[in-house]
Amino acid sequence: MIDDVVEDVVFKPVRTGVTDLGSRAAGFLEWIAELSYLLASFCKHLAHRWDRRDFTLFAAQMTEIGLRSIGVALITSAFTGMAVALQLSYGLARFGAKTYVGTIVAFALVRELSPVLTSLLVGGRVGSGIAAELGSMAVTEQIDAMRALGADPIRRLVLPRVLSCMIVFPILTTISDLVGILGGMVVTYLESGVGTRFFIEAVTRSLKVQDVASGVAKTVFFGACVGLIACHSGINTRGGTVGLGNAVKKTVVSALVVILVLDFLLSKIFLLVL
Amino acid sequence: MARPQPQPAHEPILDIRGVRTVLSGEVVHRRIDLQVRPGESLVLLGPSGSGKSVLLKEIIGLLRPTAGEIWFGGQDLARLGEEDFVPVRRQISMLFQGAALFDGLSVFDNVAFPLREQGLAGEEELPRIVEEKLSLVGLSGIGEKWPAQLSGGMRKRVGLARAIATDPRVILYDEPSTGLDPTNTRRINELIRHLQAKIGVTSFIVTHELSTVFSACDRAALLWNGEIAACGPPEELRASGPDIVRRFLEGTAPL
Repeated sequence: MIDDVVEDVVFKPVRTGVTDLGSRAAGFLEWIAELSYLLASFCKHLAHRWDRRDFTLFAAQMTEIGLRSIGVALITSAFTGMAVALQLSYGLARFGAKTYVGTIVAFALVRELSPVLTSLLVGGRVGSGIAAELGSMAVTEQIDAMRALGADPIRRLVLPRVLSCMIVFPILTTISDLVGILGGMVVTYLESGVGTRFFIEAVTRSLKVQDVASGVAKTVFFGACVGLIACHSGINTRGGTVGLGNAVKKTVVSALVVILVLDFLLSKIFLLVL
Repeated sequence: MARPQPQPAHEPILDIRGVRTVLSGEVVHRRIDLQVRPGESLVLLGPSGSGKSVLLKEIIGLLRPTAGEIWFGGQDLARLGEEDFVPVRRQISMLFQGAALFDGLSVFDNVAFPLREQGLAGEEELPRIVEEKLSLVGLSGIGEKWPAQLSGGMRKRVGLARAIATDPRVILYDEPSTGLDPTNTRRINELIRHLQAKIGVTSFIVTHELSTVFSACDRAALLWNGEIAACGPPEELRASGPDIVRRFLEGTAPL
């Protein structure tokens, strides 16, 4: 009797948990392997000679991923810069250090906040869009049809999307850096009375090229990850509309977690090398 | 109406030998042996989930069989790599169950897609070729429309125009009349026959539709329990085929 209870309450859940953990770990490794294969295929097609259709598809994705994400990036960066400036104006005033607001706002924005928040927001928008589009194509057999008609889905679908992400993310981050600092400057002036000229001088004096470069460079990797994860989920979507929903959800969660993990690793690496 | 007779030929255009397929641990095909003759129209029947569409996808290289051989044009398709399949896909094309038209492309661009991708025609030749293919399926002048503007029957016919764009030797039809009303089903059956007569294409059709079996095919084969249970002219099968085939054709087979 006691043995049965112990079996049901302790051993059975532990066994189930261990088995579940094992299959999740195996699934994770398989996912990494498939992403690596997709990355290798992407690099192979990137190095191939491009034809007119490659350029047309690339231009279309630059418009879709880049131009249509500018609004999200601008709103995110402007309000982040303003919020950070507001908090610092209040916090640093306690120590009589209001004059450092500009330097700290700019430093926090260009090294960390702007690259990460822009990538998270734009990544969520772009990643879900790519996964939904390619997932719909997969469940309606359009990707199979593409192969059957002699086209390579990696070249026609993955290459333009991932490359656009790798180019668009740093551009949007650079714009976000500027807009965030401007937002911070306005709020600092209004809240602390720090003059705009002083603010700009403090920012330009304290920021180094490496600060901006390390922030922007990180987003090339973030863009590649978002693009690859979204394309992988989309192309491998199975199971109709339920599968499509799961693919979009998985893309957004995976891409955002990967951005945060990668941010820490890349920040450490760039601090060592730059 | 007299049916066009298949070209007499000794060599099958498609020779499926001992194909075994296991997907996600489940045996789909135990052993498939089937020969498709040049110019004929062969229907593959079978219950839902019996692996008929899987066999079509193995022929065109979207899936690979676990074992066995699929011979076409002196090559074993089961052993070909993805890049080697491109020239094969000029000669074998497929009409997908839902037509699988590209939503983001117009009808014209859909039909022109394989010609552009495979570099078979210049931009200046495309309008003539696309219009010719669309007129073959009775849809002249709709190149500017978008897939979302078409009815189910029209989508299937555009899919067929796209499938014949490269002048293939074999067309694989995956449930060509599923989801269509009787008029469109009859129209598709007539089109299959028309294309066979007009361009001499070989048709390999997967269907549940008995009207397709009796009006659009020369031979029918039944896929049952992962094997080909019988193959022959449909009237012959109905009259004197194995019991399971006769019951399937009468709609009384146990599924």
